[in-house]
Amino acid sequence: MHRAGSKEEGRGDDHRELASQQQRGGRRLRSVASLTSLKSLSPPQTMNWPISKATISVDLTNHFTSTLVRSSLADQESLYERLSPSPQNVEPNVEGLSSEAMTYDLLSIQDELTHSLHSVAYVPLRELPNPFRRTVENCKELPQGKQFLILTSAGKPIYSMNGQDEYVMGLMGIVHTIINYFQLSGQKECLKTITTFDTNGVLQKFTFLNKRHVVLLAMTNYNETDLKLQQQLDLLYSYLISTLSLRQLNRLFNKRENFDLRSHLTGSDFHNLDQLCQSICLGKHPGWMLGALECVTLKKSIRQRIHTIMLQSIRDLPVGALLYGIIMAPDHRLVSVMRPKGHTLHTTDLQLLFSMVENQLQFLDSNQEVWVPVCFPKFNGNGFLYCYFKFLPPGFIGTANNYGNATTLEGNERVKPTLILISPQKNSFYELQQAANTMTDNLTISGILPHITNPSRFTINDIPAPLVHHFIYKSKKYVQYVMPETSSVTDWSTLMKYYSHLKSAVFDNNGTPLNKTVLSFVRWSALSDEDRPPKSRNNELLLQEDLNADSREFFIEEGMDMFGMAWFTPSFELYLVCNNGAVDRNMILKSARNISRWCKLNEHRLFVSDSAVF
Amino acid sequence: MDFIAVYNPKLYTLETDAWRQLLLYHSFQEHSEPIPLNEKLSLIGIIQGIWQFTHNFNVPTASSKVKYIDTHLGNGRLITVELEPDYFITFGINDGNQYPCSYYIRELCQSYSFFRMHFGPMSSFKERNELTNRLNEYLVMYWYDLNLIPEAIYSSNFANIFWHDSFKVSELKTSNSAWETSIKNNILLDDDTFLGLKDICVYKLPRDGHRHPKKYGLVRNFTTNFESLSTLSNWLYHLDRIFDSALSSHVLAGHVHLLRQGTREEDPTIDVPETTMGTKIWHNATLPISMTYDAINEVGNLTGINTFMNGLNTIANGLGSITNKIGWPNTSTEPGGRNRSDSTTHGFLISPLSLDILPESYHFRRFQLQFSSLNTQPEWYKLLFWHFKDYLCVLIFNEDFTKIWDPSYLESLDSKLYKSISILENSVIDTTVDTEGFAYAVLDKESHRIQTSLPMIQCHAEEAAGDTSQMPLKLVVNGIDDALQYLTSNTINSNAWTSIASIYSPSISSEVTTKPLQKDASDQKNSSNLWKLGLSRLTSFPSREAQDKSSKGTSTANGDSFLCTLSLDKLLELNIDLCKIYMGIQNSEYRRDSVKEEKLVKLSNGVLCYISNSSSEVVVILKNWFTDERFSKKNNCNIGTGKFEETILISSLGNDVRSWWDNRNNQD
Repeated sequence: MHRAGSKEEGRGDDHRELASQQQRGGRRLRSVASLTSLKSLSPPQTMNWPISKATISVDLTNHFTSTLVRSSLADQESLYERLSPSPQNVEPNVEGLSSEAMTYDLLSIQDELTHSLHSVAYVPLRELPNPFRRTVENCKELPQGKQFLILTSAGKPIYSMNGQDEYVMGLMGIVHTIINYFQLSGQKECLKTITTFDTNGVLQKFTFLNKRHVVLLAMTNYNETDLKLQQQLDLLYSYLISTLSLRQLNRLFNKRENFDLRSHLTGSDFHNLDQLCQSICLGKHPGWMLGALECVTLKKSIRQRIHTIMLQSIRDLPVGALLYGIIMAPDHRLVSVMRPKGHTLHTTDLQLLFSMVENQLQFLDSNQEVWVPVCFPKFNGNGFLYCYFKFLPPGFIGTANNYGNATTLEGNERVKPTLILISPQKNSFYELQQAANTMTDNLTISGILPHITNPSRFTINDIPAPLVHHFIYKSKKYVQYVMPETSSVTDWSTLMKYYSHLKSAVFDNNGTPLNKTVLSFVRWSALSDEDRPPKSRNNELLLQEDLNADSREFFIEEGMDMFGMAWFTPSFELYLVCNNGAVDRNMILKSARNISRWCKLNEHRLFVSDSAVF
Repeated sequence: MDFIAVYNPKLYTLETDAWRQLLLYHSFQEHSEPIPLNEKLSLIGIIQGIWQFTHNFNVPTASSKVKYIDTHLGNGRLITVELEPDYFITFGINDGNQYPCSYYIRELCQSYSFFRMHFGPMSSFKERNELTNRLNEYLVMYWYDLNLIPEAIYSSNFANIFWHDSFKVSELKTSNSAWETSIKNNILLDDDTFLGLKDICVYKLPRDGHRHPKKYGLVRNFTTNFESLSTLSNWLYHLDRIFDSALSSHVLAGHVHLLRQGTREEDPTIDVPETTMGTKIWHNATLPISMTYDAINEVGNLTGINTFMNGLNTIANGLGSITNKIGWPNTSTEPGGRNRSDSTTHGFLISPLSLDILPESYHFRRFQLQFSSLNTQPEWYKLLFWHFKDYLCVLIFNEDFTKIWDPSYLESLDSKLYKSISILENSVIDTTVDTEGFAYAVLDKESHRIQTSLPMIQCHAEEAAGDTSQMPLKLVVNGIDDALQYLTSNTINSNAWTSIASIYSPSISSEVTTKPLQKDASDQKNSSNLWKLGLSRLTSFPSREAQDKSSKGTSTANGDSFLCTLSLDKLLELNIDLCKIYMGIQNSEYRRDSVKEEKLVKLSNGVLCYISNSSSEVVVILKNWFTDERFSKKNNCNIGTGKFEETILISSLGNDVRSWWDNRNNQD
């Protein structure tokens, strides 16, 4: 095997070699794709598919039926009463109701339903009112909101998330000057953060990450802690390392300090950076915010069987050929890990690996395989490991190219479930391919595949947690989190904004928790005191008026009463967002207890608690 | 602290003129080499760069505009505030980044607003040098004092820190408003005064703000559109905070500053107290100096010419003998034998009645104040200060009002004020019966008024708790040090000090706070030494140390809230916790104009904190859930009808908070 000359000799060579191998390769190598060609395979516009189909009918039906039941049973009931929590209202269907759904008349909901089921562009229901300010996005030179800049220590631009090139170049020059000034001045200080305030509070934050050759800058208009921004920058930096390796980076810059790194990065690198930044901004992966992974919910016995199959398949591998084996489900969800004793993979490394699968490999043909060198920055920034990727066959149901729905609930493109084998040896492609084939065959035979290829999340209705709209539970022991299925109509970025605010209710700006355990309730209500219904007047009347005003927007904006809870303890973190109008604190607390109890009870199903150790 | 710099980048046009932009650069590094101008300028340039850079990412709107920038370096930090258009102040500090920058922003903004009150806006200065001089004179001194007691920065409670453009009001309950009517009818609407007197602000500045924070603050003023009220009030509170009491002529005249003891060799002032007093805390030892003139005023009244006056005359080098302007209505008829409770506890602190030899600021303060929001131009006013016990009245006169130079007018004013404030004093309802199980702070965003029962954390108490024999600081009265030195070195003897010591004996109970005058008077009777008179005069305001002692001694002390019994360390810790929680609100993106954000945070260390932030007010309530019965025994009684929606989070704080809240709303 003379393939894929050492990565250290240069990436360009590497890709070329991969590509050429593809040309001269035999039957087996035909399926090996080069990563450089991926960019052309995946033009950016295809990345932003609109939500093409309603993915899960459960929730919509929920709304549908419950509204139906409600309106027929209790026509005369005031809306407020219906929304306000009462002990009897524990049937999950009712709790799942959103106020907006109530404001629709039946016909429109039916329309909505059929519409959403059959058409590509439907207007999503706004289940979540948005109490947060909107950033000004109309600035031509530089969209506001969020920005990432990467430049070399010599001030040469590497990457900017958005903004016009010339404009951003100027900014990078300023960044370079400022950072240098402090480094060279008497105290040899290092610029960490800049925070700007207006009279109301924090406007923007700028966080700098000063690495030896690279300077990264994050700017945010959002409620993000300094620590979180640092983590985001670290992720971007880790990506650079994972594609270049630290050793190569050092070599390039030691040769020439004002080296222009852009010339060394490929189109797909920039594309990947774009994807990473975008995912960060949209909060696509709550795991990045929480520093945790999400797993596929599986019965313990099934997980055990997967482990057994994985271990059996690698029995014939020569010693040292395999370092890690990972099965990954859509949505960056982990199914199983196979690892040598005493070794674990850093969460950041896994996150990068998963986004690589998501961003680069999803447009490959499902029977293609990929063999590619990847640097795992937290494992060893100086060297490369070699990754073998293979998509898992879709199981019993569906045709070859049908992996259920094309998009996930968060609007992410649905990634095919992937088997990843990681080797320290660059020549082990065939051995690993063999092992992978055995593994997929065995998984198929055992009937486990459907659990992996079409994993479902539990829904909020599975847990006796009235009033709760959605939650995220992070187990500190496993560094993993779980969350229930979101409905296709959920405004994901608003939901994530709620979560980031809830998070800031238990952490201070430096990312340290306020105390060992913290319990925080946060409530956003849009009715100011003057606007509240006069005490003499019945709530019912006013709300009736609102409904008659036939302005849904008005109702949504004025009737906001969102309740959230954050619970930080030494063993878990729980964040939950309640339904609009649910304000019974005791009930919410009870729900929160139920959730934590439920998660604890089912922890072996929810979390990957042990891995296949060899 | 590293340095403080004021600059205006628009002040220069040519490259060679670059130095012109730098209006002030003061380094706090005492023994370091002077910093070359070039270095200063490049630092300013970089800060300007940062300022401009951040603006690239922000489209300024009417509602939000960058006001402050906090730059974190590895260890140090730079905080920049735009004071006026194009005028910036930058503060460099090396604090390991452990405190939220709001601590410093508050000081920066306050130092500027006080400066502006004293000298007018920076843009009004025509001469660059003049501005620099004034900045040196005021701003640098402000920070110099703070630099000596940095605890003062950190020990402010969070309401003062985050709401620095607002001011605390006193929640004094009175049985009737007769005193207000009295002031209105007899003083404000009086024929003599009507044209000249713009406003009277009545403050209560009790010495036990630590334990009864509710009473502390502005009782009321009489003009509705007094825009500068918060600046004026905060200035008084600031004096009270730094110099231990604002109720002193010297402090109000701006002539008192802190001095690190032993740093100046040419300053051999009183070592006597230190050696003889031993463990006496420093401000006890030095207060006599700052109070000397007050004492002389009265001594002069009582006994006519005496040795001290003679001494003063000698020092004053024939600047004129003691004037006879001083004449208190009550005492003129019965000199020497007057009623003590009247004489010692009221009178003008700053007025033209002060001795002629004293600088102008002892006669009146000239401040630039704004009385109407429509009229954009603030105007100059002359302010006189008058006190009755721990009430302070600030009388604001139009600048051209000449009557204040007429002693008889002032005399009548004094008696009228005395009458009114006496009525106030008598009508006060003592509400300190029960210690509340919670503490609160409420900010009214429109009127900038703060109501709070958070204890005022006192920086001086910390020092008192430390090794007092090595107290490094003392108060000095600028400009008239020599006189004071002469007086004190000649007259203070250990005898006098021991008599004070007896007053401050640990046996002191909280009675001292409520009835200081009796102590005072009794001491007076026994005293044949005139200096004792002067000194005992001081003790009408029991020192904070005495306060601490008494509060420690009586475990069931009646503070305004449970926090008042906490130790200082705990309070500071709590304060930082609170600041962190409050920072969360500052970070939040909720739409501040229309959305109300509420937060209830329960920490495992017992802190239960509720914050609600709407467009009209901010409410912060603090509780200790360890001690709250409701959390130990399950309480299911919940939520009445009616106001269920509004108070959902507040009601979960317990019934005591709930009833306080309801009362409060009913008052409105």
